[in-house]
Formats: sequence, C-alpha cells, structure tokens
Amino acid sequence: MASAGYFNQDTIASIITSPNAFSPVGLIRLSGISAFSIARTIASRSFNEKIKSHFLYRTSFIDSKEEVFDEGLIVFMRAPNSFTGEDVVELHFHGNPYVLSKAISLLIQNGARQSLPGEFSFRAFRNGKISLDQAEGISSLIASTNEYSAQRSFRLLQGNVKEGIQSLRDQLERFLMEVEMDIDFSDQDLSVIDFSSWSNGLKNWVDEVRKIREDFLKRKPLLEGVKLAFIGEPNSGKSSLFNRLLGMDRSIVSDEAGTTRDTVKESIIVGDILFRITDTAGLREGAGYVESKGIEKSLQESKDSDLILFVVDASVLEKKADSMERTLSLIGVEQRSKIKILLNKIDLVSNSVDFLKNQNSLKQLKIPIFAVSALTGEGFDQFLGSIQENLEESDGQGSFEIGRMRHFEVLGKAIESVQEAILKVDRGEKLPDLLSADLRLAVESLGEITGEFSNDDMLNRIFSSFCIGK
Amino acid sequence: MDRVDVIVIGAGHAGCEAALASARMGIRTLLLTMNNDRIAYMSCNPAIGGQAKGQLAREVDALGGEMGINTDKSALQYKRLNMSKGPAVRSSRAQCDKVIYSLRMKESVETQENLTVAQREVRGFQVEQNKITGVFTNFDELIRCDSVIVTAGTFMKSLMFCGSTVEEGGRAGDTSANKISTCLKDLGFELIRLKTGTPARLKKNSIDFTRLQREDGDKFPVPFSYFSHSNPFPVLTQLPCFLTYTNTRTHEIIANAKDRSPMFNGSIGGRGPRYCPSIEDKVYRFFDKERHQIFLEPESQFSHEIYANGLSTSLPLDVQKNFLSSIEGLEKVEISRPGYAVEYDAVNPLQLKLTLESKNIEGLFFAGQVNGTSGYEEAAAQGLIAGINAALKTKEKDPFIVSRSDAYIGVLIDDLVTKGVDEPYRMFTSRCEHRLLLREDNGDHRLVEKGRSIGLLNTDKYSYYLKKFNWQQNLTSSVKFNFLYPKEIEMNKERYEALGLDSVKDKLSFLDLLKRPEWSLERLEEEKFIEIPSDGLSEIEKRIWSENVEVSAKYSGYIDKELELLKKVRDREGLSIPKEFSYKSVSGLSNEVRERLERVSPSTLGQAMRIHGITPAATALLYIHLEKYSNEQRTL
Repeated sequence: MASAGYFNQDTIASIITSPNAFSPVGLIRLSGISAFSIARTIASRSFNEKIKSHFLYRTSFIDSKEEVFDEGLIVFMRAPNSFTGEDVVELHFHGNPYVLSKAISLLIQNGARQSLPGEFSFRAFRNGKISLDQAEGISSLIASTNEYSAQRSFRLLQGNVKEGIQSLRDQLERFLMEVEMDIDFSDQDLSVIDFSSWSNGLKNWVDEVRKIREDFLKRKPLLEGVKLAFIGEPNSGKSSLFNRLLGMDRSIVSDEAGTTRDTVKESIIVGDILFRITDTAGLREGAGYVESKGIEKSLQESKDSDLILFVVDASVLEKKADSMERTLSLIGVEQRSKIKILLNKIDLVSNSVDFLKNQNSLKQLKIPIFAVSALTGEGFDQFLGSIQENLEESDGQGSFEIGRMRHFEVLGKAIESVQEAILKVDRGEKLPDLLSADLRLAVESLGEITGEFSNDDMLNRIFSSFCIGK
Repeated sequence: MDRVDVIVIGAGHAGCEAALASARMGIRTLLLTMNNDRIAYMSCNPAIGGQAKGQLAREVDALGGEMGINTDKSALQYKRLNMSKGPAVRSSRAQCDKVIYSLRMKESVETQENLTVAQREVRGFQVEQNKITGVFTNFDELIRCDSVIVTAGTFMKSLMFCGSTVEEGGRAGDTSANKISTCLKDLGFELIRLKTGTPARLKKNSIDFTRLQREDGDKFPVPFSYFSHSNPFPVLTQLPCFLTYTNTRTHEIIANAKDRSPMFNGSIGGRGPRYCPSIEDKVYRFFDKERHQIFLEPESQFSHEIYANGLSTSLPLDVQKNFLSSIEGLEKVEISRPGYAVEYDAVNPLQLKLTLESKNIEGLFFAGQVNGTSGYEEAAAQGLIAGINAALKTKEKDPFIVSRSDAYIGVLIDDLVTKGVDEPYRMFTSRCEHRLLLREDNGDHRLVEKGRSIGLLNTDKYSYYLKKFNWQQNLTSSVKFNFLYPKEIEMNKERYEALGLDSVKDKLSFLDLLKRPEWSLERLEEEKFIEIPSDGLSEIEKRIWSENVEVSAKYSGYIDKELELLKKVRDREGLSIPKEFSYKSVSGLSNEVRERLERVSPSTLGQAMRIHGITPAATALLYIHLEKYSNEQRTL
C-alpha cells in the first residue's frame, strides 16, 4: 500500500521561522490530534489541561533529562479555530538554530512527524481554512520543494544508511513473508512456521534497531550541530564559499586579499543536520599585527571545529603550490584527519576533469578534494553529501549509523509495531492474520525511506524463493 | 432475437454470472456460447474455492450470484482451510462434480426469466460513434443491443501444446474463437498473450489407491452459499481425495525431457502463472526439492477419470506416461486425457473502468480470464460486476462499484484496472489491505444490502438473511447484556476456581468473557452461562450463524482499529476524478507521473494513489487541482 504522505493524519511539527539564522524569536508549530500532548512533553508543568485556548503562556522548555534548555512562550489553539483547522500548538523559542534543532528533535522523539513541504497549508486547505487561490500558491511550493528535496535526499542518501535501512526492511519482510505463506499457501507442502523462533528473530531485530537509535542520540554533533571552519590563504575565496553556503551575503567579500580580519559565524540546516560554520581570516606568513591576530584566531577555530575546510584557489594553484603547502602545514598535524580540501574557483579552469587529474602534488597529501565554485555553486551537493555520509559513518554499537531525525523517527515507529507482534506471540495469540497486520505497519513505516512496499513485492519474494503451486 | 438489451459472449464461469445478474435485474439478456454442452464447464481443477477464492465465491453469492448455490448442488467434498490461522483468513473449498456443476448451471441459465441461451460464435461487432450497438454471429445475423459483455475465457486465438503437437483450441476437444480477437484489435484494443495449463486425467481403475493417503473432507461441512439450507446436507454422497508424491526418479525423467517441453524450448511465448506452475517448471526451478505433493481428485460421480492436481504439464505424451508411472500408486496408470498448455489472447485490463466497461468503446464490457485473470472464482466475480453494470446502464442508473474495503471483489477489480497484469492474476488474501474486515463469516453483512438495493438479490434470499441477521443480533445482546456477578462467584467458589474465574472482582459481561482466547460460545453454553436460541434452526445453521457473533466479539478491538483507519482513507477514496479532467492542468507534476495517470485514468483519488510510481506530493497536487476543478464547474 502506498504511503499516504499528505493524506496521513499524524501530528506534524516544523520550525516555521528561519531554522538557520540567529534571530530574536524562533517558532515551532505542531498540528494534529496529539499536538497538545506532544507539546506538553517539553513544556513546564503549568502547561496543562487548565490552560485556555488562544492564550499565550510563559514556559520553560525542558529536555528528556528534565533540564531546561530555553525559556519562551507557548500557545494552544483548539480545533477548529486554528490555522490548519486542527489542534495547533505554537512554541516560541529564542531564535537559535541549536535550540530549535534540539526542540524539534525532542518533539519528534515524542511522537510528532516532521511535516512535508507545504503540509500545514495543505491541511488548512483540506479543512476549509484557506481559499483555493491561496492553495494554488501552496501547490507550487509542494511541487518545487518536493522535487528539490526528493533529488537531494536521494543523492545524499547513497551510502550506508539507505542500504542499512533497506536491509532492516528486508529482514522484516522475511518475517512477514513467513506468516503470509502460512496463510495463503498453507495447503502447500512447505515447512510449518515456528512461532517461538519467529518472535525470537523479531526480538533480535528490535535490539539491533534500538542500538542504532541509541547511537544516534549519543552522537553529539547531530544534536548540537557540526562545526565547520573555512581556512585558507587570503583571497582563496573562503568568504564567498561561506556565503554561497548560507545563501546570503554575510561576510564582506572583495577581490582584495585579507578582507576578513576576524572570524564570522553562522548556522544552517542542510537535510536535517545543523551546521555551525565559521569563516576565518586568511592564513599567510608575514602579515601585519591586526592580521596576525586574526590568523591566530583562525588556527584556534580550526582546532575547535569538527571539520576543517581548507580552501585553495584553483586558478592560481600551479603558481602557488609551494606556498599552499606551507600554509597547510600551519594547521597542526593532529588536526590533519579533519581536513577536506575545497578547490575553489573551478569555473575559471578550462577543463576541470583534466585539471584534477594533473594535480599530483595535491593528491600526494592524501586529503579528500572537492572541486567547487562559489560563483556558480558547482560541486556543492557532492561535497555536502560527503560530509553527511562521513557523519553517518562514525563508530557505534549498531550495524550502521543513521544521520537524521527522520530516520530515527521512522525506526521508532517500526519498533513499536514489531513489539506488538512479539507481545501477541508471548501471550500465546499466534494468529497469522493479526501478526501480519502488525508487521505490515512496520514495513510500511520503513517504506517511507526505502520506497513504498507493495503486496506484489512480497508475492514476488515468495514465488522466487519457494516452490509454490499444486 | 433481433434486439436485446445485453449480450454476453461466452458461457463459462464469468459469462453465466454476468447473464444471470443482468437478467435477474429485469434486463433482456442473451447468452451466446460456442457449445451449449460446455456451460460453466470446469476446464481444469474440479473444485471451487481455496485461499481467498473461497471469499470471492461467497461474495458473489452474497450479492445474489449463482456460484455458491451451484457449488452446494454439486459438492463432493467440503474443506475449510486456515481454520487455525485466524478468522479473517478462513477460506472455503469444495471438490465439485464437474458434470453436475455444469448441468445445474445450465439449468439455471436456461430457466432464468429474461435470459435466452443460444449456441453461436460471435464474428464481429457493430460499433457506431464509439458505442457498441450489436454483434454479428456465424449465421450472419446482426443482433442489436445496448451492451456486450465479452467473457471469452482462454478462447481467443488459442493454441494448445503437448510436446511438439500444437492444435488450435481453448480447451481439449473444443475450438478457438479467432475472429473476435482480430475485431478487438481493429477497434484499438491492446491484447496480451498469456499461458495456462492443465494436468493429465487418469483412469480411476488403473490407480492403486490402497497405497495412498486418503484425504476426507471436514467432519462438519459448511455450505458455500449463505442462503443454502437444504436438508439433507451435503446434497451428494461425499467422496475422498488421495495424496501421493513425486520423487527423484520422477524429477529425473522430467529433467531429461527439458528440450522437449514447449515451455522451455521457446514454442510458447505467453506468460504463465507463477503460483500455478507446471511440474516441469517446478522441477527445473527448484531442483533441490525432493518431492512435490499430488492430490488425486474425483472429477464426477459419473466419471471414472481422476484429476492429478499438481502435475500440470505440456511435456509430450510419452514423457507424461513415463513420469506418472514413477509415482507411488500410479505405477500402472493409464492416461485418459493428456495434460497440455494453452496460450491465448487477453485484453490488457488497464483499458477498463472499475465497472469493467472499456474506456474507449461505450457499452463494451470484459470479464473473466479474458482480462488476464485465472480461476473460476475470479472470473465469476468479474462476470457478476460486469453483468450488474451492463444492466444498470440500460436502466440509466449509476454504476455499481465495490470498494477495496467492501470486498475481495473490489480488490480484484481495482488491482486489474489500476495495475494491469503481466501474468494470469490470482487472488490472495495478502492482496487485501483490509483483510481483517473481509471475512467469510461477514460476507453477507457486507454485501447483501448492496445486492438487494440494485435489485439482484431476490426476496427469498433476503428474508432468509434477515432471519439470520436478527438471530445474530439477539445472540449478541444476550452475551453483551448478561453478566457474571462477584456475588455469584463468591457463592460457588469451587466451581469458578476450576473455570479460572475466581479472580473476577467486578461484574463481567459474557461478551468480555468471550474475548478471552480460552472461551467460545459453545463453552459458554456448556457452562450454562448463555443459551444459544434454537428457533427451529438446524444444527448446521446454529453453528454457522454463531461464528460471526463469536468472531465479531473476539476481534472487536482489531476491527475497531481497522474501521478507524478506514475512516481516514474514505474521503480520498470517495473523491472522484471526472473523466474530462485534464492532468495537463496540474502544474508541478513530472511528465512521467502525468503519463502514468493518463494511461490508467483513475476514477478516484484513492485509485490514483495506488498507481505504481505516484508520489505523495503528486497526490496532494492532484487533490488541490481537483478541488479547483470542481469549484470551477460549480460556478459555470
């Protein structure tokens, strides 16, 4: 069955102010039948049944360890008098990407689903809250963002994660197949299902998925943001790259070397990972007093960051290879593993493929190289994708690492349904028709990432693995 | 016979239901068959039902179809499958006497008011302005009509294969209908080539049954039809089947003849069903499997031929003879009819609406195997729906569509017209997303009122149903509103301890007690907690009628959850897409998605969502534009 997408009735959540920038206020909206109860999980105790609809209350925001992580305001709007026509809660935080990212993560852990592009407006339209004219505006939003994010998430999700989740679903489908065969092909000469080993297998599956989810929670960068620092020689284009990434002019950019004398910080969310990015003053020998202060600071920044993006100007690389290597050596050896080289201004090179092939001196450094252009945006997706994959590859207890809240959320739903089936077997209710219903829900949840599940797929699996037919 | 309302071409399992449904709804109907002696003929397995097929046959019955009643008139052995797999998936199956089955159905169609049966071959269609207006027969007649239902089965351009022998025909001993296939092509229909097969029939007295495992039917058989209440039941003397197995020697013989199999030497190009493979298919693909089970089934009480279920084949006769005699009990077997494969033309069902009327030619319906399905039950279900809709068309009434949440029939037809087929389609319970709701025990509750409202289900059946319905209501209230009180337990401590009920602290309804796995209505009655009313019912009726009450109680939690889920999808399932709606007007759809939508042209948003490759975002866009469209229509 195709996943319902926009027609799903889950309670949805999203950051509705700019999630990337520091600003006075950051807003999260929750909409759906459980909006109130999910909001309560991170609000103070005073946010309870006694509050009135459409009144603004002060609250602390607390995390799962009962620690306060922000102070703000909260408002509950009872259906149908709300933007979407459903129960809505809006949570007002300080506009800090870290706080917002943490809050949305907690809400999702507690049962909300990250909304799809335009989904709040879509619900408002379905509930008769906005007009057709307004809805047509959303339709372009749904179309464009969907296309964009679909392509993007596909590209960013090439490595381990997709394979990992696919393999989890594969395992579940095999369990599902066993009960389905026990129903549709019970008159065939096939081995009989052994429910105790069936449910033991599922228990192992649940343990495995739990580990994967716990690893995710343990990994700090994903919740607190991944620190990236742009480092490089003056005028290599660090600030242009930084701005390209942010999509706005924040650092002062000019062709004169040494424009950034201090560090500049910004945060953005790509996919659902928070990046905290630092632009630094250029590194060079023989700088003046003010500038060398800046350089000192740049080196400090590089130590504090999770990843160092060493920017090199491709157009002058051949002339300045020696100086580039000397500059690179200013960064301590112990920081080496964090470095990625960004070969900027690749648009100025006539044949970028040949050019890259010929950079033997660069290759000898054994540092990953990405050819990009701050001017045209070329190479950015590839480079960001690789960063995300890197994050998803760090050590943990699970068989693979997930990198996104979305994965965490989907795996949680799947565990819940599988647990239902295990409980039934434990209680002695070994009825395949009910067990199948639970497993189907779990498989469909994972299908939101791996692509939809269809009964035809399952029948194909049965026919290709077993001799069926009288 | 110059003019009728509805013409049905083909009198197989689809054609008979189609013709009966239309005639019973008061429409003048003509049923044409190439051979009056082959009406509702069981060309393959002499049985009705099986997993998911039992549900289909019973749904046909609940709407007012004939299959269930005809099965009860001819059953030689009843068996309900999946009794331990949960009530949702229990399925009836019956071995039938194929001679009686055919003759009883012949009697029904011949005596049906408004229905004429005639032996003709259809050679052409009369189509005016994309609307069918009549058919031409092999006697150069033109018979005019409003609608035509094609139920040609495997008979369009059919070829039969047995080794290197190739003959024209849709069934051994019968011919092929070649003209009709060409006419459909000329009308612009896309045809596909499919394949099916059947095993050899064996001479009963050449089999040594003493060495084989005997398989009898159920001790307490359950009739197929919700409305059967014949006494005595079963009607016919019940007969056993016998079980034997192939062995490595059998497989060796088959493997050695691989190059003589038309399936494997390239003679047959059509796709066969994977769930019903030939024995050579099984041996070649699963060579490791040491044995395959073979059921030897009686074909008729008048016949000394035995059906060898599990041995469908198109190998040459000498190989068939060889591998058969390697099987235990068949050492001296004689073949009365060789097995063979049939390759035939079918209509790609993507060209049909949910009513089974074609999208391009008004009034032209298709049902049964010609739509790429396999099985008598799948055929009957489609025949019934096509017959009903052709009749409604003449009456100028709204079409009749059964949804996926109403019945297996709904799943079957929606799958066919939404996804198309690439092999003969068979129903499975796993194809139904609302399986817990679509049970055999509630088929009548789901469909009788529908059958009644379109004027198909007759008064006799309907009043019998109401009697059952009231009886079940009474029984339900008596378990719901009678209680076990703690005081009573206190007074008879020993007795309730033995029943495991001594810990009950609050009053407990017998309905709640019934929800516990170890309790059943029967046990409640044994313990004298309740009385199951007799009301002059037979033991069989009491037993069958109780089932629904018990299952509804035991599964109530799951059923409620399903119904809750269903409510959520109902609005989008119900949102219809007008025929003239243009997908080009939906900005933001990719070309690929738009092409798929145009090809299937779904009639509801729910159907659109089930088309392969349609993204959630695409359905959301479609929804907005459909609302916009209907708004524009209103203001025009």
